[in-house]
Order: sequence, then structure tokens, then C-alpha cells
Amino acid sequence: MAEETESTKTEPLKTAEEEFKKLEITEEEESELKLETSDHVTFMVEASIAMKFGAVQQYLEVSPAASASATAIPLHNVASRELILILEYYRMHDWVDAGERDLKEFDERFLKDLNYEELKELLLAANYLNVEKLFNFLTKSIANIIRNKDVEFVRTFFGIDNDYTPEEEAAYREENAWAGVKFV
Amino acid sequence: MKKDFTLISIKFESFAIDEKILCDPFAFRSGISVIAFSYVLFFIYGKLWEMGVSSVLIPMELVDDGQESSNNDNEIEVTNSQLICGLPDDISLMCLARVPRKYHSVLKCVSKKWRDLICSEGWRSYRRKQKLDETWIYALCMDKLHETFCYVLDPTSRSYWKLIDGLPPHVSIRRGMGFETLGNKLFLLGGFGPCRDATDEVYSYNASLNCWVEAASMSSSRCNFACEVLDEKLYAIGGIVSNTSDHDNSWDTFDPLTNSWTSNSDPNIPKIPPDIEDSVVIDGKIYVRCGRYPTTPNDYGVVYEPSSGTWQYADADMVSGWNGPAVVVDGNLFVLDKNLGSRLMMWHKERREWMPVGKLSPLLTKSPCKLVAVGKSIFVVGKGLSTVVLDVSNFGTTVQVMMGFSLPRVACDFNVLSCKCFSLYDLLCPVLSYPKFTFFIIAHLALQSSLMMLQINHMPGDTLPNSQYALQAVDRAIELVENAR
Repeated sequence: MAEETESTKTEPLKTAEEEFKKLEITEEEESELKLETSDHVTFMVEASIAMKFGAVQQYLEVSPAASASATAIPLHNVASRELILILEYYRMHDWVDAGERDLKEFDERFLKDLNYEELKELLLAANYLNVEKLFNFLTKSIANIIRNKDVEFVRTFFGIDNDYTPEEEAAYREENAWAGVKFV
Repeated sequence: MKKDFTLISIKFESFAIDEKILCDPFAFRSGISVIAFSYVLFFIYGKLWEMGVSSVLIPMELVDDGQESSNNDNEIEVTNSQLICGLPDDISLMCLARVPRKYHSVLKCVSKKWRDLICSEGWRSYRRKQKLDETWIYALCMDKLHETFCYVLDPTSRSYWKLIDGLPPHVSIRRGMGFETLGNKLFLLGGFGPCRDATDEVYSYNASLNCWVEAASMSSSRCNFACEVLDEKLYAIGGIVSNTSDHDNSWDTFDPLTNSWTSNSDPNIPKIPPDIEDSVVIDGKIYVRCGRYPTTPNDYGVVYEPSSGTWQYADADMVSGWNGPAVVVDGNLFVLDKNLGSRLMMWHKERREWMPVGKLSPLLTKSPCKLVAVGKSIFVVGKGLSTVVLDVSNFGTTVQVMMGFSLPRVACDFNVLSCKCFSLYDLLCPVLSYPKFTFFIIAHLALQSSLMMLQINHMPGDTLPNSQYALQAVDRAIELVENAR
């Protein structure tokens, strides 16, 4: 009887071990990459997400050893603040269960939390990292700022000096009137 | 808005901005050649005109005019300041290029540097590469007094047709002109004036400058001819030609790269009579439909193959069904058949037969109509520029929802024609502040191939906000549908 109980006990133990091994394997498959930002903060990022960054791909092409070894991949032009945001964006957009509506809401919130300066910083970081999806999203967001706005708004928003003479400006405004865009 | 326009022709142009008109090869060339017509020729011509045989309708493929860049190599002035403070200029370009076309005039007013960017080749090529070029529709129309006007519609904004000013007065009284778009320019070719002489003059309209200039003249004076764009070249085919002896079988081609016309003729080709009714480009070949000429009992068509430079007779079965305004969408020929109501037909190339696509209310599409396609949408533009948009992207499935919008043509009351079910998808929100704006909701019914149409008039003086107005329109539409049941 005692032997029997022992054997029944060991069996679940074995399966648990196997499961643990399996887990390890899957974890190994979803390996992580070490990324170091410009302000020397190291991030452990899932390879599936990190490999979406063009800059990381390029780095690994040049030095393939980096993926296996513990050396961090340096991201010279990305600060930790931006990388957190980029990872947040990609984790959300990678999430399988995220519906179109969730993503839209997320995108709206994501934009809302950014001021113009942060938006520009993030755009530069996205450009450096070569992350197409986020980059396109941000450029579109900047373009959307201009929708339905007048010239004065665009000038003050982007901090641009008016170098037209009054006559030149009047001529362009006339053309504008034809195009049907109203000035406030 | 003038009433009772007869639509002559309709074209669209893929947007690519180009303001460097001063270095433009099309500009500032003039040539006047006035050749008298024989009275007989004119008589036939005038008769044709009275019968309402108007000029051409040709859909145009989105033309990649990247090669044009050689003409516009003037680079943007290098200045120290950035386009957008804190961003490299290339990234700024990528941001600003995503601004829709209708706001470009605002961007141009911001500063000289921004204006130079928008007029640069880099801007054009980036927008084209990113598939950001927006297509606007241009319509050539004529009023009761035979004066010609040119209108433009931005299909994305779903607003209203806008008049393009500045058409030279002596051009606006011409008839039988060719109307075609090539690159980012609109061309008005040939035609005849009040003195009844054909002309070889060509005028081009620059979309970004909003101005008309005279362009290189055609090799021969022509009117009522077929005008097509194929392989970045403009073709003027047949019609009434006044300075060649063998005027039936000649055609001129214009190459924008060399800015010159070349004349071709071939006496051995199937006869292209002067009464050309319509023409289209399908699979890289130009199809010209010719009307009944005294010598031929039936309509017939000819096909031009540019690779071999040969003309042949077109498939008679195809030509027999091609009896109305036509348009090509994805290589498929669609025709609005007016014989049995307004049916949209498609030519099935493999089966070699005409297939019905859908029926349109004749009230929606007042003859004469012209068709133009933007992407997978067919715009039916009828009298008074009333416009109906048909989506043929999921042709073959049972339910199609077609949306239309229109400008008022005449004061008349439309009723609900027939009604079984109502499917209202995305409600269009056009610029409802436009006085007397008319708003249509059309649902194509799955069971019967009939159309239901509702019309809600926006009265001048209404001050409701747009969204509220749109909601009211929907309520009213549903009420009408309920009543009809």
C-alpha cells in the first residue's frame, strides 16, 4: 500500500516537473533582450516586441552575439521616458485580445497624455528606433493638429515666424478663400 | 450656381502639387491656327451638337508622373531655420505631408519655407509613395447659352462642386473640346469657336496655382474627337480634323516630357468617323466608340493598341451594349444603360457578355450623365451636377449600399419610390451649411433590385448645427420609410 501511495505521489510530481520544464522552454522561446537607453537605464524587453524595433534588428544583424549574451543593446538617442511609452504602445498593440475599439481608445488616451514637446521627443525616438507603426501614428497625429485650423494657429502652435510681406500674404489668403477654408 | 448645365465631360486628377509654373514646359507657348470649315462638315457637326452628342468621357488611371521631376529640379532654398522647431526637416515633411489636400492652402500661408516645401518635388513624391495623393474630380459643363464652365469636387469632403475661375473667355465659348487630365494638370484641347472654325489650341489648368495657361498646340485643328491618356501620353483621336486631307484616320499624341505633339495617320486602319461618341482605356488599349455614320448601319468601335500601333475593330458584342456613359474600374467596363431605366451594366470579359450590376432611380440621375471612377467608387454626375456615388468594390455580393449626395438642380419634389427594408450605415455628413443643400440616403435593396431614395432639403436660413441636422434627417428618413410600408 505504502509503495502504491508513493508511486501515485511521484507521478504528479513528475508531471509538475515536466510542466515546469515546458514553461521554461516557452520562456526561453520568448526570450528577453536587454536594451540600454541614453540615460543608462536597462530594460528587459520581450524579444517579440524588441524585434519590432528596426534599430534593434540592425544591431543584432551586425553583432548577432548580443541576443544570446547578457550585453545590453545601446539605444543612444532614446531616453527611458520615451522607451517606456513606446513599450506601452507596442504591448497594447501586440495584445491579441485588444479589439479595434480598445486600440482606438488607447490611442486617444495615449495622445492625450502627451504635450507637444513630448510628442516631438517621442517622434524623434520612434524615428531613431525605426518603429513604423508608432511613427506613422505620431506623424498622423501631428498632421491632425492642423485640420480645421487657421494660419495664425498653425504659426503659434509650431512657433513659426511669418516671413511674408503683407501683400504676399494677402495674395495667398485670396487663394485660400477659393479653396474654401475659412479664416477666423 | 447656374442651373441647367449640360455636363460635357468629367475627369479626375491625382493630386500632386506643382507651382513652378515659370519653368513649366507647358506654359507660355502659343500658336494660333484658324482654319475655316467647310459648310457641310459644319452642318453635320452642328446637328450632332444639337442631338446632344457631347464630347468625351474618359476615366483616367492615377498617373504616376514621377518622370516629370526632371522638369522641376529647383530645390528648396536652404535656410537655417527648421520647418518645425525641434524636428529635422525630413520628419517634418512626413508629418505635414499627411495633412489633407484641402488644408494645403493654409500650410502655404504659414511661411515661405512651408510654401516651398509644399511646392517641392520631395513633397509630391513622398505623398505619392505613401499613397497620400488625394483625387479630386473635375467636371466640364455647359449652360443653356452654351457657355462652358469647369467645376471641381473633393470627393473626400463630400461637400459641393466648386467653380474654377479663370477659364479664358474665348475658350469658354468653344464647343467640341477635348478634356483630359495628365499629371497634375487639366487639359482643354481644340474645339470650335463661334466663328465655326476648329482650333488646335490647348489650355492647361494647374491645380495648385488655380490658373489656366496656354499649352503646346496640337498638330492639327480638331473638334469632337476622342481624348485619352495612355502611358503618360495624351491622345487626340479622330473627330473633325481640318488641315489634313485624310482627316478620318489620324490621331495626335502629346508627350509631356518633350512638350510636343506628334501627328499620326494610317489610311489602312478601320475608319474612325468624325462622330465619335465615347472612348475608354481598358488594359492598356484605347477603345473608341463611333456613332451611326451614314455609311455604317450600326454603332461600331475601334481599338488602338499602342505597343504595335495598330487599329482594329472592337468586339461587336461589347460595343452593342456600350450605349451610354462608360467608366473603367479595375479594368472592367461599366456602362450606365439608359434604355431600360438607368441600369449599371458591367462587361464580363471572360464570358463576353453584359451583366447588370444595379438599377438606379432615373430621378437620381438626370440625363445626360457622365461617369467617373475614384478608386472603387463610381460617381454618376448628371444634369445640374447632381452627383450619385456608387460603390462597386463588393460587386457580386447581394447587398450593396450606395450613397449619394447632390446639389439642387431644379425645385422638384421627389417621393419614396419603393421600399422594403432600410439599411443605414455610415451617415454622410456633408457641409450642410451650404444653402439649399440636398441630402440623399439611398439603400440598394437586397431582394428587389430597386432603389429607395429619400431626400431632405436643407432650407436656407436653417441654423441648426450640422450633427443635429443630420440626426433630424435620419429621423425624417426613417419616418418616411415607415409610412411607405
